[in-house]
Amino acid sequence: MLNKNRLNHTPNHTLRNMPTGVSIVIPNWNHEYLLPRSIQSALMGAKQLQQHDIPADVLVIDDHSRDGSLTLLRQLEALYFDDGLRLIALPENVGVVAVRNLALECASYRYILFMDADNELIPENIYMFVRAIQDTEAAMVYGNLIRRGPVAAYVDMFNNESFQNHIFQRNYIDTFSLYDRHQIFDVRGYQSIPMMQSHEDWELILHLAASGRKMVFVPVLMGIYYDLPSSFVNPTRSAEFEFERKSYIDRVFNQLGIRFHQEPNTYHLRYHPDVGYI
Amino acid sequence: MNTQVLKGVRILIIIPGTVSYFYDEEGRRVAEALRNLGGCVDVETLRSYTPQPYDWCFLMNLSEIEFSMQSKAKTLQHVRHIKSFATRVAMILLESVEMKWFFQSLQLLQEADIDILLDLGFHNQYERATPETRKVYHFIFNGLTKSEREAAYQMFTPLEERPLPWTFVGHLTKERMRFLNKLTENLSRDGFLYLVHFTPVTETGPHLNQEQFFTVLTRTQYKIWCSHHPFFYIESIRFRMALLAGTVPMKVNLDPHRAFDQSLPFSYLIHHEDDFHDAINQLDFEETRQKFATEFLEYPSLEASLLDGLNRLG
Repeated sequence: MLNKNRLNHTPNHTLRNMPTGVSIVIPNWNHEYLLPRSIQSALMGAKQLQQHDIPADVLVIDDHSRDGSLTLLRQLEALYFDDGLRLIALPENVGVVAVRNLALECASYRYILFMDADNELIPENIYMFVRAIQDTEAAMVYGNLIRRGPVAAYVDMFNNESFQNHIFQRNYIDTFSLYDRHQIFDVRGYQSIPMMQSHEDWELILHLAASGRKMVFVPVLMGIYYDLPSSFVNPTRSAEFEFERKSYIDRVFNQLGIRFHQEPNTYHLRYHPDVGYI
Repeated sequence: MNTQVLKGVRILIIIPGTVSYFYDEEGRRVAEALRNLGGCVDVETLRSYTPQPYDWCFLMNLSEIEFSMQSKAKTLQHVRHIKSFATRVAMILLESVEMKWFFQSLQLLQEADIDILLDLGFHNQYERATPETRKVYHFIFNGLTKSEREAAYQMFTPLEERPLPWTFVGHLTKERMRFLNKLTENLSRDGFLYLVHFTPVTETGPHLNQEQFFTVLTRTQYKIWCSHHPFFYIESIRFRMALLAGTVPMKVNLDPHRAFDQSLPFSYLIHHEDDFHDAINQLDFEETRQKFATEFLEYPSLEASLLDGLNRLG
């Protein structure tokens, strides 16, 4: 268990008194070469929000990288501190679930946009997502992600549909989304469960749905996801746990097999701030 | 237009009913146009029609109707039944005659022994059709109905009330993704983008239904789309919807041969994917919208086109 007292980062507010604003959080583990792109886009996103009088910062949490990330991150923090770039360097590797939960506790503002080091945020669109989460009071809003592969011809899209019940069989909503910390705290954040390893974001989404929370699809481009060999969940490991994972999901979320006949509160919620619910 | 020209003519229109609201909507438009001509029109599904004497029966795309019925045998059985009390039966088409779904419809048409195919669209596809198709093919211009002509300028709201620079809605394909990747790099990234997995278009989603899509378009400047197949085709439905929502339609031509007949309707709004962002950047929204609306209203109405088509068929 990570001892938070060892972190030199103490929020000056209580969890129930979070200033309205957005913290863009980038967990990093050995992604040195990808960090400049993700951090630059996040800083530009924060700047966009500040232009709309919404406080924003960028929090990078380095999960004890060994590839030189930390040196780069310290330099970037020094350079862009005034633009809102903050760094937490963990003294030991704790894994992405603990990193995200730490961000939920340590971030400066009420809303958190989680992205990964191999993601790029579309800065000009972040304000639309903030308007959407405020207007709908959703626990989470998400938008289209373009997936680009190592070769130019490979391009795809995901994160591109509203919540439907087939998500109980296969996840199609990525972590790269905007969250309301109040509500994520209420459902106790990300859970570390062995059979859901690498699928903790899916577990949280199902948990939010089962708890009656709203997850709203905003039909706007949120970002770009660069597929690298290291981006994928380890397929062997993933397949190994597939049966256990399915059993777990059925046991927790679909005991009576009625999920496909029951519409949760979040079913098919689509919202655009310039249009309304669609 | 002589509004009584079809007085006493009894017409049955069969729509799919449970799938593809496009064809349901078109069936209702055809009904409106035929009623405006004095015809007595019933709009039904294969599950709801009542056998009675009709002069005409129009089937709004047999493969869509079959999909709605979930049974080819039942579909053909019903169509043969309709033929026993309707003097003439025709299928209405609103798609490219080169794509695979069309050939499914054609096969059903042949199996049902129907010899009239009415292609409701913006351009005659006879030259693109196979010899088998040509035997039954008749083109009808998909103009505006009387109520649509009256509503043409109703949603012409000013640019400042249209915060969405563009809208792209459809199902996700590799070709569309390739285009959107370019569009978001070269034009802008803040458009309304709704691409869902391939699934039948119904009122309950995940596709946007007619009303939802229309609402989005009333806040949009440019409605952009491309076909989900490589064959050249001008989707009259998309253009009409854009007009009624007060947006400018922009069609992306994915045809690798690029060239198409520039005398076709609204060819200045159709551009190859490589030229698209330059083309749209050169347009003035208000000017283009006005030009588009004026031209659309100059084309024959749906009433006039249908009457002409029926006269040609004797």
